[in-house]
Amino acid sequence: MRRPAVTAPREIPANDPSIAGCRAGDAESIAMLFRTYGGMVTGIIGRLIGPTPDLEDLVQTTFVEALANIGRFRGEAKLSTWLCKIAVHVAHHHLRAGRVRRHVPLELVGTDRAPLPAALVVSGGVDHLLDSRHLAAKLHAACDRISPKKRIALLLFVLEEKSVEEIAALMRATQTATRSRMYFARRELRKLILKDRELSAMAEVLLGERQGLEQGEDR
Amino acid sequence: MISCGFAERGLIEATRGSASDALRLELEAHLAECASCRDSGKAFGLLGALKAMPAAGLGSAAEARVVRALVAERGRGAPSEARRVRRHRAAIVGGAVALAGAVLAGGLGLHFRELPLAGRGTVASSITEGQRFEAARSGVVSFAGSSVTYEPGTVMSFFPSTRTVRLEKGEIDVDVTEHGPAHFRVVTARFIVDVPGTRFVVTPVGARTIRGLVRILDPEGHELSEVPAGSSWAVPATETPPSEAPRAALERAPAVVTVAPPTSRGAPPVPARSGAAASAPGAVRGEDVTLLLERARAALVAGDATRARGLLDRATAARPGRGARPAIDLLMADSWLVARRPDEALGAYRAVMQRHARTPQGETAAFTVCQLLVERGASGEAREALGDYLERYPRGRFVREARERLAQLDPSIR
Repeated sequence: MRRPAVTAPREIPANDPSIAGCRAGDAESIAMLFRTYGGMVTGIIGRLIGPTPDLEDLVQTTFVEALANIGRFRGEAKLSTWLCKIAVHVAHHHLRAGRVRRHVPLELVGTDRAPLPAALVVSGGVDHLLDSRHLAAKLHAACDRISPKKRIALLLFVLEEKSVEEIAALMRATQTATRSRMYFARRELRKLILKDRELSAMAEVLLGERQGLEQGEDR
Repeated sequence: MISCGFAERGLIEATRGSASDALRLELEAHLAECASCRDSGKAFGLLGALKAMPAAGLGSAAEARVVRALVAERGRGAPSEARRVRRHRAAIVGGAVALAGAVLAGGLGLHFRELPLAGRGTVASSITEGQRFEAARSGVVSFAGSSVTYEPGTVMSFFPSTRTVRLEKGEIDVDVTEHGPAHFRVVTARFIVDVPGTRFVVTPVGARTIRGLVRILDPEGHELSEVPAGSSWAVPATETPPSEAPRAALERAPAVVTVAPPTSRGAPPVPARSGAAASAPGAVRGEDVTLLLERARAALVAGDATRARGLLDRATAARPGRGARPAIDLLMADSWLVARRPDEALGAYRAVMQRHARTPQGETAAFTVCQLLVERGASGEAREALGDYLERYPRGRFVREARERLAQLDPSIR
């Protein structure tokens, strides 16, 4: 079943008084803008960058940029689309600077024991949380070795379920270039996963479990 | 069983959550059989697990901090530190660009006095019919829907009414971007390049096509050859150069030429029908490798692969320098294509690609391999080859074509 990657926020129309309030620097309007779109922006940046202690700063930067330029928002696109574009640019700049901090709390650092893939899929307990965070950190660390443009194109397509046209518009690229970036990102990610023993083992178990689950459903 | 390309598309759809049950079953069956797709399945499995995780969120304390910071930032009305740095940087960069522009304009004014506009993307609307220019430095001029990049020492004249550039000396790189009422033409002393829409490089002794297709005509307007992307054509060494470009060709209306769709480099060259390239090559003066290569090229243009190979064997026996080896090997590979033996040609191009990877011939061979695989319908292999080409030559001559081909071939992304 298809489900939206990020819960769509309630849209603020372009002619809403809160937009004018944001332009004027009204505290209540700014708080409303953040309450409405903060979750969406955090989700997008979190998915593109991965676990990082800089998440809060990046979200703040996105809104600072948005508020500084809200005078130029003409309402031709939805406010969420406009903010999404800014978030993608902020994430891209951060990745391009090559200063992504991969700080993982001590209790989440991987151990030598085998991972618990079953918990990844079926349970919602503490083990699941710990292992999924570990997996996310490992996978994004692998993605750090892919160029930011390729990585963002792939993650927007797979995780955010954006279409090629949307990604091209968000990244100011042609559709051909976007497809090409996604192709290379997939190819590089596959190589990186195969090189990394832990990720490869996790993936193998995940794949086996998925097949097992589907066979079970068939029966 | 479904194909690998279809399986990859299925994997993407499954990860995005839009795969049907039937597709999933077919996918599982394929993954059980195909090790390569199973590796792709691992990557997508991990991405799927990542997608299933709850979206990142800031705690309520962090959210409150951000709101406070935003309000304070807005209240100050001053740009943030990051914005100040960026504005400062933009001012510096803007100043540098303006300074460079001024220097460039001054330089052009000094060295290329008569050219009215020489900036990339500008339209030189004030060029008058037959105006002649002599460049002391390299530069770019927009002319009749094309961008003409010239080298130092280039001497050329422009004829806007017939979309023609007459090249007397030097080298120009022409990128024809717009279609007009007439084909774009470059006239040299010994031949004419007629262009439906493409990018190519012309010198007084030859032309090289970078994108699309160009036709080589003799000064009388008869077609000599077609030069597809990645190929080049040279005036045979035996011909005596006339002293001046044929003015009659400029005054004549453009010849009616059927516009063929761009063909691949892999197609055998069209045999020359008349003119310089069709004339029989002269006698070999000793075992001059350059001359042997010219004669081998002429033989290939005439469709005589056996003779070309004989000449190339002699060139090899003449102990050519390191610089000539890639050209010999590439022509040898071309000869298999002309002889309509694609398997041998593919093997030979692969060998050139590996042996001379750092040379232009190696790059040409790598792209030709891609085109041959595309023409064979081996889409999986072609995708890999195109991917390898783009990785190996990220700023190569055929990058644009390779990207377009790759986008057409990749069924996994729609």
